[in-house]
Amino acid sequence: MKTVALLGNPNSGKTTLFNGLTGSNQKIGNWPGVTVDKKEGKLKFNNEEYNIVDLPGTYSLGAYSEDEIVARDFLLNGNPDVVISVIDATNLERNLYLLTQLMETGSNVIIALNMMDEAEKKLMKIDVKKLSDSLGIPVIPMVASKETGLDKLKEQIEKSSKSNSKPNSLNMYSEDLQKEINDLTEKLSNLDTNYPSEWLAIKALEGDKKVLDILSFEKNLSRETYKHIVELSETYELGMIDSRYDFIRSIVNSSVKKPDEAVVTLTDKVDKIITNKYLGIPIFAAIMFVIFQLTFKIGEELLGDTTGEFIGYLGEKVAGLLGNLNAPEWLMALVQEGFFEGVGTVLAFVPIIMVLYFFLGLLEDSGYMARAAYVMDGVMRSIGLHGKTFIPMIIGFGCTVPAVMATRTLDNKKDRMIAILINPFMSCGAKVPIYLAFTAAFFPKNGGVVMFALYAIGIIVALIMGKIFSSTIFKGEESHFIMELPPYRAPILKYVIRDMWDKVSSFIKRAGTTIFSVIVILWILAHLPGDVEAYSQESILGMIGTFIAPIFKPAGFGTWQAAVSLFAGIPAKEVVVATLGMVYAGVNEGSELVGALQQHFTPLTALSFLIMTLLYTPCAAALGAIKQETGSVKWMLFVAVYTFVIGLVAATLVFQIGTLLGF
Amino acid sequence: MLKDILDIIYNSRLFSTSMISQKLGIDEAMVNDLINQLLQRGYVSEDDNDFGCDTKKCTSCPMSCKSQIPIKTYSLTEKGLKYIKQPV
Repeated sequence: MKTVALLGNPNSGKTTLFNGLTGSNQKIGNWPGVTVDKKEGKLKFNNEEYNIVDLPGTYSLGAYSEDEIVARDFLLNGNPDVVISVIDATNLERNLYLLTQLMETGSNVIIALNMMDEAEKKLMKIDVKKLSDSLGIPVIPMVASKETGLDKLKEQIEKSSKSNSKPNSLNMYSEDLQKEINDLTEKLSNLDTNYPSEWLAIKALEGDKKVLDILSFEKNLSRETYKHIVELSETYELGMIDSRYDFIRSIVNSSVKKPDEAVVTLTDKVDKIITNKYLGIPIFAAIMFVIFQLTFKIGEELLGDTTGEFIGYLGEKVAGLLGNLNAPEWLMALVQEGFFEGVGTVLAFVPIIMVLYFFLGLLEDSGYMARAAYVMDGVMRSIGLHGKTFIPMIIGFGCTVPAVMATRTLDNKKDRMIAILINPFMSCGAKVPIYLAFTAAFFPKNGGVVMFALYAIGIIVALIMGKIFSSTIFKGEESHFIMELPPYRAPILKYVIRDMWDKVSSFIKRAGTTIFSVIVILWILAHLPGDVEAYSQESILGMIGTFIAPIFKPAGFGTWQAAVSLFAGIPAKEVVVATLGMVYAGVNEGSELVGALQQHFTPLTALSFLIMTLLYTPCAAALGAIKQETGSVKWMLFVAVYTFVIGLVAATLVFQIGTLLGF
Repeated sequence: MLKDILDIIYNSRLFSTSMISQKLGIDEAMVNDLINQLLQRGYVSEDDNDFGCDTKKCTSCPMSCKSQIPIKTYSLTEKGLKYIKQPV
């Protein structure tokens, strides 16, 4: 019985053709030694029976995957009588690359030129005869899914299996390369392997690792010759592959006519504007500005304070329930002040945060973020920083921990250090509730502007510090990297909502775990020692705050409550808001945080406090990541201290200049 | 063509497959194949900008890293740099 193998790219319609040829007469096994499926079936045609073997779908016959190795070993050692090369007519160049390699195996080939209907729809005109003549191989145009051309293919199988014709020599390679192939073929002709020597020579020259391995163990090959072959492969590797692609281009150019497509895609047109040297940054800024404005418009005006009211209502109900159960007073106070007034304050911002993440998700899913990284990359380079530094910074908008870890993409240690040192200035997700609380209290009409300004100030301070570090501890080094701009696409709502929910649920989870734990500790400190009034300056918490507060006096918020909240923000930034909620609720029970902030801050001190929270010491998890990535406690402490100093200096400047200007 | 792509990577800061396909007059699918050839053979490396997220420390991160369109960057390796600088 004659054997016919089917070879083709994934999605070339190979399996459909296999089913068309064999009907239900199939069996599935495994190729020896690997987990790749082996599908075989029988074809009966004109009283002749053929064994059809469906080889794994692959793009080349290299040695980069099990599929490729299985396919090529079968072609070279399985002695198929005929090999059908299934080619997707709509994707000719890519499919022909596999064909060129198939022809090098010396197989008896038929081309099944599949998906001709699709090619016609794309207005491609393929001159089948010319294609067949230039390749020296029979070409059967077909539509496997409709069984069009199937009978002609069967007739050709019958014919080819009898003739045992081999493809012509293709003159694919340049004179130099062909000479190297011939010389090497001769050197390898007396080897004891299962592979044809010319094929071994071609593969060795293109640097095929498996073939080089075989040659390295070959007794009849001297070490010197082997070393020479390895050197040759390093020289000719890309030339060999390029020759195949050049050959394919010439074949396609002569036998295929494609419509004159509008070559400039919409994505390219949009990118010309969006990644423009001068417009890129203003467009990025405008997009972010619109997002913040929309977030406030939708988040506040549509959703309002429903969550805050609901949390307040829930707090009352739980307090009532605990009262009915005769729960101890301390427990009732802890639940009411710690959980509902503290953690609840953070949770009240969930709707706005949800809207913000939704819009950022839309932006991410549209493919814009790569453009944002690209335009910022230009800014980074212009001030002497490594362009890649901005990628960790974009990640830093979410969380500093993965951002610090993402600096690993920077090969140079000094580049990495700078990226790590400036990343804490990015507005991470945990800082957002602080911004929201203060904008609600002081800038309710300009929430979007304030948010935008804070994000922008974070980036600007990071760039200034980056510049300072780069001119003191880092000297510019050439780097060659390139960013891929994926095509734009309409965001898929399902993914955007799923992503938004992932982020929001992790935010809520964090509120119930880390933030609550810190708040419990602070609550205890606010109630100790037992003989003083809770939340007074005499409580342990009050004493700690009073001790730290003078540092912040020049910045305008030298109260013990503000000091404690900043101190408490080091374990986790959301705790700043939770602490303020708790300490002010403790003083003036029942009052809302917004009202309390209005009593204890002015718009100017609120602004300087916001600048402080934006820039000062990153959270404990981020410091841990910095220690891990720099491998040094000293660098971690340096970051903790220098960011604090920068934050305090900036906040002081805001307050002092604002006061001078009469705000 | 592979050398042309290495040249583009050496001289540019960004690319899209459609841009290269226009520049070299080849299909986008082929551009992807050529880049894969360069990746497989170690002339270019694809930078993994995502690995920072594969850690337990990130469980508390409010930002999801499961981006549908991750930012992809490629770098020229030493092998690629050596190839591009060799005389034609």
